[in-house]
Amino acid sequence: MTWIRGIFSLFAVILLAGQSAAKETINADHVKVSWIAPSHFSGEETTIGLHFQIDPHWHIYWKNPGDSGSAPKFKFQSNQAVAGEISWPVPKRFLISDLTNIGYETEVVFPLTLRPHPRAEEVQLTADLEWLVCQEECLPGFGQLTLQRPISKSPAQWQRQELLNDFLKKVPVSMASSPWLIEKLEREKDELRLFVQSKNASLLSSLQIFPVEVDFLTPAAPLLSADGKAFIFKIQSTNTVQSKAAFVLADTNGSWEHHSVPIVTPADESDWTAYLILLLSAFVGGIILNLMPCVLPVLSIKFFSLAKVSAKARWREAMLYTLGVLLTFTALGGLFVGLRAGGAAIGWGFQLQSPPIVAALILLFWIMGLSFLGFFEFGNSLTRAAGKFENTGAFATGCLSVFIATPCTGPFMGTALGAAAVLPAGEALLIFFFLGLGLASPFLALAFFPKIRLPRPGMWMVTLRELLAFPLFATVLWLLWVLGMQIGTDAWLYLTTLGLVLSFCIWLGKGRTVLWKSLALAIALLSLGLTANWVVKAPLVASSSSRVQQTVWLDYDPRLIVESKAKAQAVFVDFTAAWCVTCQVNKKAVLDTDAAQTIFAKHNVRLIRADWTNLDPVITEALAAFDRASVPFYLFYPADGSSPQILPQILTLGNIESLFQK
Amino acid sequence: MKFFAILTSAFLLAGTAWADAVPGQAAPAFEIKDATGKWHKLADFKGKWVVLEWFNKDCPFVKKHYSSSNMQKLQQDYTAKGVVWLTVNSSAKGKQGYVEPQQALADAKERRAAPSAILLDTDGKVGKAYGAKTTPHMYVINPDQQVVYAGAIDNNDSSDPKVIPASKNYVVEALDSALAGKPIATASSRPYGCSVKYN
Repeated sequence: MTWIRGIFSLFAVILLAGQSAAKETINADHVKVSWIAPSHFSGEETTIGLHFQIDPHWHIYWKNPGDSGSAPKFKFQSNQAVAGEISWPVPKRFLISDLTNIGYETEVVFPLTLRPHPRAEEVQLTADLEWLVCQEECLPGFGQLTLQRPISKSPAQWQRQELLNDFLKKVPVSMASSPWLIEKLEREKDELRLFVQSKNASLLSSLQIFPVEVDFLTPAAPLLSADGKAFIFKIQSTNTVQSKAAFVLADTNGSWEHHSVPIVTPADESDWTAYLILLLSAFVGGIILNLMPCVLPVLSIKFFSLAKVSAKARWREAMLYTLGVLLTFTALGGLFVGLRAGGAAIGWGFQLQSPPIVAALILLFWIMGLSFLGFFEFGNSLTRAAGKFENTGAFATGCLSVFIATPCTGPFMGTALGAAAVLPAGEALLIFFFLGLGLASPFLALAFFPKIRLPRPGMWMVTLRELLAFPLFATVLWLLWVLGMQIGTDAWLYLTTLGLVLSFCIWLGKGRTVLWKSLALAIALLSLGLTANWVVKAPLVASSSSRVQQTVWLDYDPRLIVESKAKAQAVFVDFTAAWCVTCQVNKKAVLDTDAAQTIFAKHNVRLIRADWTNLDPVITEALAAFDRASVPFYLFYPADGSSPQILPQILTLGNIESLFQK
Repeated sequence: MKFFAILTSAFLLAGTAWADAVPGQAAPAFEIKDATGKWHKLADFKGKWVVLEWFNKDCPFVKKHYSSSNMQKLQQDYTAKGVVWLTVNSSAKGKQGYVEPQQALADAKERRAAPSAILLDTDGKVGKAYGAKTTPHMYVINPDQQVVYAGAIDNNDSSDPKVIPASKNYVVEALDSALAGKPIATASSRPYGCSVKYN
């Protein structure tokens, strides 16, 4: 069979070749190719064009075709003239499944110049063409076009010359006239950061950037960095990185080809400054944590209890506390780094993504609150067990502070934690260490400056202690809400019942005989066991329960973003978690206000909420794509398909408004 | 600790999606059925050179190398030298190039293809583990199961078979140097061809 087919196709080729002798148009599958040229040439150099008309939904390719496909190929032969090179108008990106293609749809004109020889009377140009036209499937096309024209001084007739001129305007021009300045192209591990400045204060987000014949860069649209100064390209792990790269920069006013941009790796020195700044922000973030409502009650009790002890004991206590904080932070950090090394994408706050840990914290805070109120004193027999919080348990308080501080991720911590997620293990651990140092700083100050005078002990301490029971109870309420989000509203019933039973047991055992105490202990243990069993087995429900609350927000799905992009609809993504206090504040104070919703509705913004209350690998991965490992995190994809913008961690209505001011 | 165990395993699973086969690194492991129903593991081929060829019978770029008998000749030449040649079809059911096992075998016979096995990766797992983007996307794996070449079959992304004789075939270069104990000059290139028809 094959040989019959072979002969047949041979005939077909001969037939085609015979036909195409003087062809000015090719009608192929899904593509029509024709010349845009004058009726005759004047003898001067003239720009002509090759016009590709493409069926709807099909596309052909740019010179860098992207993840798949291939660029059209042109071979020219001219008689009595010199043909120049083909120019490539600015293309656009297409998303085919997960792959990015770069090319043209509907139609494109590739301009080229033709310069007749002096004294030529007629010029002839033959173009051997090969192209690939794709929808999801691809069809190759071949063909030959010829152009034969006399030379004459009389005015020439054109057809479709405006179209040729339109596309000529879309051909990137020399970087010398570019309104954009490429400051530097910096390599950072598997990324290239292209730092761009506008010479006329245009917004970087209005810019489209295409890598030219750079096979070590992924063709997907680059992301704009958090500070809005650089575009981030991912490096193709399979390809060798060259020393230079070229890019086409395009905005609504034109396009420019910036070639031979050298790739630099940040010098060690600046690397170190950047890292030192990270450590510093980790430290400052740690200090701020002390003031967060999650930490303050536990901390202040411990802090002021030091007023009662001698300077020497104070030093010891402060150091123990610091040790507790540092060890716990580094251990959590180590776990974080370890899981990451095991191929995991993981984010900060993962402790609170576990319902049993949240439940344990609820009970702990409830009992501490009761104790703070004086419902029970840690009496003789219980001193060793529970009294540790106030006297010998400086170390334990340190450990506890770290755990309960997690949900209060503050402004400085986001950057530091994000960096920790991508830095090598050692450097990442040091960042956790500095967060710990910041958190422990008030105690460290006490240890190193024993002269600092704490207020004299007295009745005020009892009053303060009682007062601080209330923030603890508030924390209990909040954690109950978190647990409800994680495993359903039954959590309220179970946990509050357990709280009641435990309170009863404490009352039962208080100041009675050993028999009563044993009974109390037995009931307490039984109810603890039953509840723990339920909590561990309860299925996770987070995403569905948060949907009930808010119908405007869609659940996170990366396909929604792609879909909106295709429809030129803007998208706002809210990465949040029930256990993240900052997220809840932003939500109530900004995102879910009528003012913000009106703005979103007016600009037809698609609202997407990525709920990270429970572990969700898809969301973790989405965060990691922006070098984040913690929430809150806010993303805005403009309607024009330009690079997404990252919003600050503490939102204001102004942030939302400014998204739409151009 | 149960929580951490769950966490760890959840992440290990998540981590397997869209990893890439990078030259100089360990080749992603796989376990997959071939068209005859036999199971193959990458580890089974330890000690041998392995070529992975991503395939879609309806892709013009695949046709370029089969209609010219270029691919069949490579398969014959190198399997004769003890190289394991695996043709991988990652077309999802209902997408272009998807075939039932029987058809895959019949087609291969008609093409006179001579791979060691035709792997049917209908769910795209192997393709995604390797980061296979196009057909034909080629990988060469050394006896220590490290990737030594990843990319296009040659340096001419035309779909015209006529260009093959004048093209530089990267897979041939890699295998010939490797089998002669020489370093491989080109360890990667931009793969060309049709997109792999994943689901």
